[in-house]
Amino acid sequence: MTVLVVDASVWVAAAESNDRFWALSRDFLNAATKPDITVAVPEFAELEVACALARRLRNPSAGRRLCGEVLQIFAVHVHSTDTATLRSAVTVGTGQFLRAGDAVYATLAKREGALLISWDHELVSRAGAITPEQWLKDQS
Amino acid sequence: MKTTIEIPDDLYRKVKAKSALEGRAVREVTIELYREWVEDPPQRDSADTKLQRLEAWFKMADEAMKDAPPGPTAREIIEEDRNRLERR
Repeated sequence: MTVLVVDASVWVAAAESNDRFWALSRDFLNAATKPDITVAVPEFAELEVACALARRLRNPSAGRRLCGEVLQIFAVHVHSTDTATLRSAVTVGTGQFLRAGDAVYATLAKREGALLISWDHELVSRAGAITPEQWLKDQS
Repeated sequence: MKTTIEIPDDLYRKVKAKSALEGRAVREVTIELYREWVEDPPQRDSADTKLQRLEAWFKMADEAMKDAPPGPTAREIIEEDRNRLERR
């Protein structure tokens, strides 16, 4: 079983054809439907995705609905950002000079033995994430 | 009948929050979930079903985006949010 921690940037890029990463994000999500893949996110990601979509659409309910639906399709494991996780994130974040939010993603990936998938340059360069494009290449 | 069970704190907090959001009592949700589980155990989606549901989500997103005002994409919004403090 492969576990992927998928950053908010990937979910929202798949929602919008104007985004330059739209097609690759959709290809990635299609490929991630394989039965041997489990998708996980920190609670924080759900917040980021729903809020970014709502802000983009200027429509709160559409943002919530699009976010809720896609996470449900993948039966995404939404991990609580509890005190223990945040304490670990302090170690990971300070060790790798990450932003706070990035540290939460990196900590979850480390704890779950998962690959972190992101379009965020900083997550890729400092937190060991790979882009959906790279992941797709690695699968072929 | 009445029963007592122990539930992890974080899970119960989520249950309470979601119940409140939907205007339902935790008791009502609990009974519903028990009934569903006993009468119709949930099945994991097959890859084909997931793909079909994902395709439907893509269409839903495309439809929603038709009403989006001009401006940065949702990913660019996240990118801006993440860099906002560094830029100032």
